[in-house]
Amino acid sequence: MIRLPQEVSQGLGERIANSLTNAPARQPLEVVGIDDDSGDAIRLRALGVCDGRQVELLRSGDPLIVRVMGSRIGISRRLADQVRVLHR
Amino acid sequence: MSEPSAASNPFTSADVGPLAGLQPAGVVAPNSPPLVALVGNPNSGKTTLFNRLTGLRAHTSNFAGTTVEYREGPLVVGGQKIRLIDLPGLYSLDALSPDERAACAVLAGEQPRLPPIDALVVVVDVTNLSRNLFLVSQVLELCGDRELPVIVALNMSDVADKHGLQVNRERIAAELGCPIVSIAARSGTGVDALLRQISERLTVNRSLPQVDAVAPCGSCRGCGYSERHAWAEQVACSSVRGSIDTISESTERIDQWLTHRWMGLVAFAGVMFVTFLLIFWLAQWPMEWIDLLMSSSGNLLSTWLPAGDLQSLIVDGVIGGVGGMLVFLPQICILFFLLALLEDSGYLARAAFVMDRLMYRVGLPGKAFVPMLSAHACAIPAIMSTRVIEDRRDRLVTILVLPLMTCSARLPVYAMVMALLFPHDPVRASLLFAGAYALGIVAALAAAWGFKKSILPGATRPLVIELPNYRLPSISAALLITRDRAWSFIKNAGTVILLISIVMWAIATYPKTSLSELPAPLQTEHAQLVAAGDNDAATALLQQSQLERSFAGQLGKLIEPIFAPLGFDWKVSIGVVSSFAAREVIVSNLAILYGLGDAGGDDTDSLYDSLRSSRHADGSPVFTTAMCMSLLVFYVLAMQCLPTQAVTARETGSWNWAILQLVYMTVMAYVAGLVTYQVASGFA
Repeated sequence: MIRLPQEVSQGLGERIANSLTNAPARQPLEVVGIDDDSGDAIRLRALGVCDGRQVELLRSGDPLIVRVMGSRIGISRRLADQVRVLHR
Repeated sequence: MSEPSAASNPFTSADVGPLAGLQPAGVVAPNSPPLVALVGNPNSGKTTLFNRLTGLRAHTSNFAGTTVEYREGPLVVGGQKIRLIDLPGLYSLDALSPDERAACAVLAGEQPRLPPIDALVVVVDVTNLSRNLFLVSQVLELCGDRELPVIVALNMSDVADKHGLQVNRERIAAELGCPIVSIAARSGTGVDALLRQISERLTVNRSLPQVDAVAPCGSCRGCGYSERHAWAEQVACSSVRGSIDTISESTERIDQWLTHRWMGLVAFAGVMFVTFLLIFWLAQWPMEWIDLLMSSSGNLLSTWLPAGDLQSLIVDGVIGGVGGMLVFLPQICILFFLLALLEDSGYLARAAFVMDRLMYRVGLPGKAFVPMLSAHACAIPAIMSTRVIEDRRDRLVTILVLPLMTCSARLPVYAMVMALLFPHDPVRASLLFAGAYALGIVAALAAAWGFKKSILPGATRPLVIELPNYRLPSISAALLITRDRAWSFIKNAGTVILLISIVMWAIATYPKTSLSELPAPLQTEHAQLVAAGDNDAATALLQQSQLERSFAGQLGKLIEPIFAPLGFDWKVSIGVVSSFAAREVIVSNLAILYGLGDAGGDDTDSLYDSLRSSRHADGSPVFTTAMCMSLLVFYVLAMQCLPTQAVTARETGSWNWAILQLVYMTVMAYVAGLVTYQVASGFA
């Protein structure tokens, strides 16, 4: 149903937990949680950055850019710090 | 969200379930046209569709009690009149921002002054179906509860075709359980089919049971976001084959530069430089025409109307005051137009993106930066464009500090001071000019920081912004926005300007002093001038004496002690007081005060000469370097624009914020002017 790349969906190799800010660019990342329950986190979730979803970091820095579901979203670093992701 | 309505359909009865109590019976006239709303993600092409359907007949309104705007226009579909409204662009129905709250209220039929809607068109970008379907599922759930007919318009079907995207419409329709129409709002393809569908939904199907809209998300009602996204992605994956990656790739290539940490700032500076160049360059001709129109209509009326108070009121008060505002209209329109183009192209999102990191240091969001730049042309459009800032506190702080930016109305005052200080030194004059701009910017950033630390505390909201694909902006859509905004400026600022022009005219005219009431030496001087045949000088002398003795003149003398520590004499004090409502007026008022008559404001050289030669009672010159500097600093920082205050009051919903703005800026201007004068006098 959800097309995750194999290395994420099947957990090949060791997966590293990280914040979105420190995640490697241009790699599939799986969101595992957002440590923030303000309106900003809700906005992120509505845009597709939410638990279990796959995102890709296009540009790191402050703010950073992630690709999610075919669109690009700019996020301030201080909010991206609260997004926990898994990567290979 | 609400229990299903007992009424089987919302058209035959005003009873719309639990919300019926909010709508007094009979609020909807039986034959009032049905209301159809357009809803969709930002950048889904919703507004393009709306403009195509309604064109110039549409107008902009505000939802009751908010600054959230929506556009509404009449439309005839299959012989039936309908009202079409374009709701603000939404990513979800979470009701977090004022835009979302207003749109949700419309969908729920809870919006005051609007009847419950009769049908809903969800505009979806078919090239980004998975993201767009998230909102669709929320809308279907809400409308399923209310048994509202929903039509999904798959927009950008032309782009999809061009990139070989295969869209299985039957599949989507089956998944969503509602009618689907493929359209291309830009070219108009499929729009007729959409209108037929709307008409059908409103008439033929009225008594039919509505589709089972709960089906698409039936398994996840009340669930979190993940399931809804998973559902959207699953529908998108199973019904669309292919991708439009080439568009994204070219956008990402451009973004390599435009969102780069440093290059992005350089690019932004370049874009804004060109924008301002265009504003000031293009506006010069229409500004000249308006000036000419105003002066010639003034002259014409002077010959038609009998000389006297009425003529003076209309020519000097009304035409002078309103003309003073209209002359800035070209700059304002060009600014709105260029901002609309930049927004439509997708660039403004990048501007907010690159400025966010820098603006955060003074406690403001990146989105506050474009309003701050706009304020260098005029604070009024800038304040109106702060609506993009979601957080109320961030928005209030931005509005409060915007008038500190050097707007075009300050330029005549700056020009006067530069000419007095450095008449033959363009280099130092331009350095001081740049210094005045810098002072405004620094003061605004400092004031913003101060407000965030004091009365409007709170963390600056982090940036969450979609960076849409770049596209060619639509000139006609930008023109429509410009027309609406310009009209709103004329309505809001114009009425206030008219009122204050009349008040300012009155206090500068009354009580009237006739020639015979003047002291004997002045009468003699006047008679000598007339005898010498110098009627202009005689009239100027009379005007000068009359203004001195008017309420404005008396007020100026009354407050002279207040401004004395800044080095101002009573004439400059009158100038400051009389330009309270519109700062640029000081130049023409000084011309009258220094005995040059009405025309003196245009003949700047002789004005500067008489300013230079003006003396205090003890014989020392008034316009010393220290006094010129303090006058400049005062005008950089002082509020002195009543139309801006009116717009502040309207946009914040309270005159208290406008009064706070006036008080803090005036105090800051006074203190800074005082310090400047005292320090500069010490050096002199």
